[in-house]
Amino acid sequence: MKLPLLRILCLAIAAINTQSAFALVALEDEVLSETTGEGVAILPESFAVSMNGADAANGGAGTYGTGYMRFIPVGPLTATAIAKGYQKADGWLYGVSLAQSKRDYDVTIDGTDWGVPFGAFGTGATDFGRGVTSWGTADNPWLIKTLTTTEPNFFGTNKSVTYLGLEAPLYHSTQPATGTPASSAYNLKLGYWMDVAMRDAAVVESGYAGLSNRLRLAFAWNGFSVNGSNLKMFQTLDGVSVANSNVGGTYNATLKINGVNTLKTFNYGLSTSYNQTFGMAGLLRLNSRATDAVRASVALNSITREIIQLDYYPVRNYNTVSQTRAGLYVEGAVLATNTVVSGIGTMAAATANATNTTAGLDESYVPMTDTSKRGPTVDPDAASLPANPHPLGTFPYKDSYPGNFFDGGVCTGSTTGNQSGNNQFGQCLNNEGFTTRRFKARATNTWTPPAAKSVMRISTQELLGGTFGTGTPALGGGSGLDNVPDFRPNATPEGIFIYDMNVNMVLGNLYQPLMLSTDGNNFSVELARIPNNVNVYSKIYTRYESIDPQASVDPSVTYQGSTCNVHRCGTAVTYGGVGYQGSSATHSSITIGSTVYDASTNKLSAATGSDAYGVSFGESLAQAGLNTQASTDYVQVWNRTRTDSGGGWSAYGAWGAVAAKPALTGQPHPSLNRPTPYETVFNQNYNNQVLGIHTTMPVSNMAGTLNNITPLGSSALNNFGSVAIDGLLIQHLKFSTTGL
Amino acid sequence: MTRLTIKIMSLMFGVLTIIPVQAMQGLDDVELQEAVGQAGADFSLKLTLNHRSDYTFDTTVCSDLVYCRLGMSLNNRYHDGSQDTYDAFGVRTPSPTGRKQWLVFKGIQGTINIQQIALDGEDVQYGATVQAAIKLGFTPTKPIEIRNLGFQSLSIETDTVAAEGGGNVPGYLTPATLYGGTGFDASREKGFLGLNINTNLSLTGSIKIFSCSSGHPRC
Repeated sequence: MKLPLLRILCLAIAAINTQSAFALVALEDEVLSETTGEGVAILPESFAVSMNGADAANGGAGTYGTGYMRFIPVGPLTATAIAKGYQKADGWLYGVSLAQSKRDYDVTIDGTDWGVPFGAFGTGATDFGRGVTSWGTADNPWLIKTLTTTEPNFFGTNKSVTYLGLEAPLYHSTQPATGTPASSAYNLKLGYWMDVAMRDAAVVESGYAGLSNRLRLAFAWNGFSVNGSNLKMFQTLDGVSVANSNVGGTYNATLKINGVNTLKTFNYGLSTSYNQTFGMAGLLRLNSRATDAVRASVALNSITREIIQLDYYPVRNYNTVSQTRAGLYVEGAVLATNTVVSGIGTMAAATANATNTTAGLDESYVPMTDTSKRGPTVDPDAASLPANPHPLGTFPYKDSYPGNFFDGGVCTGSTTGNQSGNNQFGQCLNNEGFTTRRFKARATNTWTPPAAKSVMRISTQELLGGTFGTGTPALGGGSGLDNVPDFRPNATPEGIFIYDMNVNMVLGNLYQPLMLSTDGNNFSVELARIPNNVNVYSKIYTRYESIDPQASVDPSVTYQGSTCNVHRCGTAVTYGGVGYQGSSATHSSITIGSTVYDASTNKLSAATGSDAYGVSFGESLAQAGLNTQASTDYVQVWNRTRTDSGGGWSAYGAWGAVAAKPALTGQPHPSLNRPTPYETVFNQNYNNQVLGIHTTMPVSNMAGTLNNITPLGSSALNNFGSVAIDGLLIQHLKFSTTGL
Repeated sequence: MTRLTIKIMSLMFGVLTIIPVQAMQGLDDVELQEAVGQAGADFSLKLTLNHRSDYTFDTTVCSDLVYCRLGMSLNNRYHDGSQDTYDAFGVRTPSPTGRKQWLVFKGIQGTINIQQIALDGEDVQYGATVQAAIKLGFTPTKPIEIRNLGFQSLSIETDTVAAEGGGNVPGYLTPATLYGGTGFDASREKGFLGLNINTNLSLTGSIKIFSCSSGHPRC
């Protein structure tokens, strides 16, 4: 499409306005036909728009916030929906407004910004917003242009395709400075509110008759841009045909179904309806700002560090399915404590070392004795829920432990033959146990969100003290029914708050178009399935070299896809000496709040620390007195022995701490290596004791270990943290109405 | 498209040259430079479709609902899934067996009253280039009045004869069928999702429109 009209018109107007230095010269048809307008540039300045009520209020502008679009729910409900009691939904979308934020780009905003989803043009507290100073610039305007490029069709054959494109101003590589006209494009505000009600299909439409259960909500997004977005319209290429294998038609494959090989027919997933029809492709970029360096601040108050004795209750936490007991560790006595105002702790080594005692010791191995010593007669775990089906512990007796023990009493008495040698004599001489210590650092902290620059608020509560309408303005009715709601925040601002959201959605491409189609009477929107053809999918898929550096998959194929996010969107471009982000990426990215960005791989992930922010129920505000703690549990294995006294056993000696064994390495097979070998030697599981225990207690540096544990801080209780969906590719998408 | 535009332009120049009683006299460059552009034009435009003066659906004009519709048919949307064919020169031959499918906006109506748009000319500058632009200005208190604009329902309708042959009833002229019975849908044409817009579309600021030619960094 050539556009000489506009150029000539511009020229004519220029002449009228005296800027033109030359007289107009008549153009012949031949000359005119050679004039090629490469595109139409559009530059909105001080521009804002709002849907006001269809009345003469406010000097003719109309009542703020009551202009509406109503979506009329025509058509029957399905029998299934009716059976479930569903009704039609009748919705009114009110006061859609788009303007610039009342405050400059990158200036902190508050409830007078995100709390006002509609209103007058201006900067007053109840105004919606002001005109977008310069939505784009003369050298980076909105563009409508027609271009012809060569792209693969659905069968991978290169063909020429002409498209009409609408392009928003490009996204700057470096953001314009606060207050400059160009920065206003990054400072948009969008607002609307809506009433949706259930409608009884059996009631004739008349006022409020048949309406019930109104849902009312307001939406405002203050601080975002659409820069870098574009929309293309074109006639899709061809190439889907039964004759083109892997693309059109069907194929047969043998599936083993219920053990029987069965021949089934499949199609390649592409419909001939893709060929040469109306196609669209869009790049939707709604960005607030880069958040890889934006975090909430977490400030700890004085830190208390403790070494706590853990007591073990082995028969607790009974699993009725597996019939096992997980046991339960409970914090017991605090053995040592140290408090500092900030930083690392100051507990002395001697204080810490003194806590590594046998206090709270649990025996993991007790030499087996005879039948008369079997289990307790009273259920030690009677109070636990669910009820323990095997309440009585089973202490050992010989019937339970058949083995080559010579004496009938298994360690009951020492007699000739079981005192030494290969007959597990040691099992009668050793008693093993373990203690557990919790090294804990705890504090209270304050959590302060970063200054709010971009806030999306979805709220439903109206300003207390206002007059609540119980109807909806479009239907009128008086007596308060048609009151316009006031969504300004109350003392505790309610609603869902989404901070610093960046949405970069790639919806199709010239070779993967978005199309409208129909099956009979139903209407559908379909994003073409990516054809199984290398010429097409190599333009879409991404080779993640960080995951597969050797390019072991399809090494001969150059994959051209990449992800569009707030930092990068395909190949960057420079126009007129100004750097802009590209628009050639194929994968989408959506993030909310704080992110971690890896520039080398262009991957975004959500920040996961307590300083992450993003989604908040209620406004994200500073909170104090939050509890935070960090702890690590350390185990010490103990051992004591007795000796054979010829017919009996001596008394046990004192418990001795068993030092951690060095890691076992260099075994004949790597699976036999033991990085953390057990210090316990004897295993038994007659009382749900742990079978193998490794000493982890840092005996040489207990104080140092504790002193360096610092809690991370807690985030605000209403802060749900950040969100990242990165590298999203739509392989095939179809929305369709049904039942028409 | 190009030809059409040129014809319109020719016509425009033709009108301009014919209306004055006296013959036009050429201005030279010096004279032109002395000419001062006065304030631009304001224009208003009121579009009414199937409406009475009180912005309600005109049941007289639309006594037969069939004639108050907008139909849209896309390439290669036939009832049998058949396809158009193209020759080497890109000339399209419609499917011989396919009956066209239409997306029909039923009961289309509305009034759009553009009260005032200021039409001026102004320069834009990019780099060292100064270029003239059309400037459309808006006043918030003179909003675009949109009244009862929309449609009653959407529907997919199909032609009755393949390749729009003899006796074909186009999909958009499919006889109006109401849901009937009682209740909300009773008097509505079969379809889904209607739309109705009632608002004062209030705009502020201006929009400059200029040709993006080869001298422009992005063109």
